[in-house]
Amino acid sequence: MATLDFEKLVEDFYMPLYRFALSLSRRESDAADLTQQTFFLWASKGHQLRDASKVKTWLFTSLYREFLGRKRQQDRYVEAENNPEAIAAQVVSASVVDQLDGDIVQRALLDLEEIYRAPLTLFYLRQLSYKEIAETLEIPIGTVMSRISRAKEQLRRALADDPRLTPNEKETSR
Amino acid sequence: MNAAEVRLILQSFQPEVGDENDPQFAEALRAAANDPALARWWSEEQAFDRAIAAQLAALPEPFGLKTRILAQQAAPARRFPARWIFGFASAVAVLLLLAFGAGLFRPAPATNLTADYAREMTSFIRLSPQLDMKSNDLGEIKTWLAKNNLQPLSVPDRLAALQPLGCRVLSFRGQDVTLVCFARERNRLAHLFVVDRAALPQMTPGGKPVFANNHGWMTATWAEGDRVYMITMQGGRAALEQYLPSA
Repeated sequence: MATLDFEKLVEDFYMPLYRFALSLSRRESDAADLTQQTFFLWASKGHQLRDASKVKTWLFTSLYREFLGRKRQQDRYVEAENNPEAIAAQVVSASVVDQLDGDIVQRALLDLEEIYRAPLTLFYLRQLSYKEIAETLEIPIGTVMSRISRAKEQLRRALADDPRLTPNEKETSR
Repeated sequence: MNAAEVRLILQSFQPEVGDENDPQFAEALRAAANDPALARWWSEEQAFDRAIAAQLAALPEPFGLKTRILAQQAAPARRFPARWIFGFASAVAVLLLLAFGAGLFRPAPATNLTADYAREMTSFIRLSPQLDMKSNDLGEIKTWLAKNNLQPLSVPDRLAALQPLGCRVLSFRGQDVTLVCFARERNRLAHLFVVDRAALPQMTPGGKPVFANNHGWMTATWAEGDRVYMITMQGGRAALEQYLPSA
């Protein structure tokens, strides 16, 4: 594989990786640490990757594995997929969408259950296709779709319940 | 493909990554275009997605992260050097060995890597990191570190006399770094970092502390046994020196 420019790689991906790490760890300092560690792994092991088109997926996958490894080490990992609640579909009106700011969205995203937070963040980062998301998270393609769908429902519900958004602008359907 | 399937599929659709070329998405897009109710839903869905993606993309850049990442870059891999380079390198190696033998060189000072370490750890502190474990009891902190298979540490007496706040684990060149924070007078802090000496092989036990100033944060780094210790705090060198083991 042709040698990739490390600086260009950092420039292109450090912020998307940081945002993904933040959604996983929910702490800025941990997210920065995970991002830094991912590039350290690339610097030491990236040459083993044969297919240059897989660099992006490699970086996101490595970060995700690093996160899971640390979480297991800290004995905090809880698989949250059991007994998922039935969630009524929410509609957030266009005017409420216009009111969204970074803080509200970030909090709503971070409040999602982890199994939904990771695919939805990757979806909104607009870096990976759903197939690459499946590869990164090591889950089946169909599961990616269902988790993104459910995650969006959770996100809409969280936004619909956010007191900072004008209540009379929100509608709930079904 | 019914309406529920169309919705499920299109909720994962991202035009930015070329999803429109995927037959599954193409079929769902056609179905949405031919059904007024689905078309309305799809329009709202896209507006929602655009708004969330834009807010996510607007998250601020963490201070110093890019600099830290670039600073840790490993030496770039070299491609098959020409045969004459091997010959030249061999000749240089022989000359260097002769020069060392003749005592022309002194041991290299602990400079670049230690400076990188001080800079990276200080820049991390400036992010106001949260602690993995909070406690005002140094014994509890040491127990937590031991329980998590982290390095035992020897805290200088005058630092140990301060009130501890807790600890967390960081990383430097793939090595775990233990950080313990202490409260000083007037709400100021002192931070003790401990890393295996393998991360900073230039640091030799018994050597004098290496001082550095990173944007108003003074650091003192020294080796003790198979560990490298570093204290950092805001203020001058004199304020920091009082917490060193030799003080």
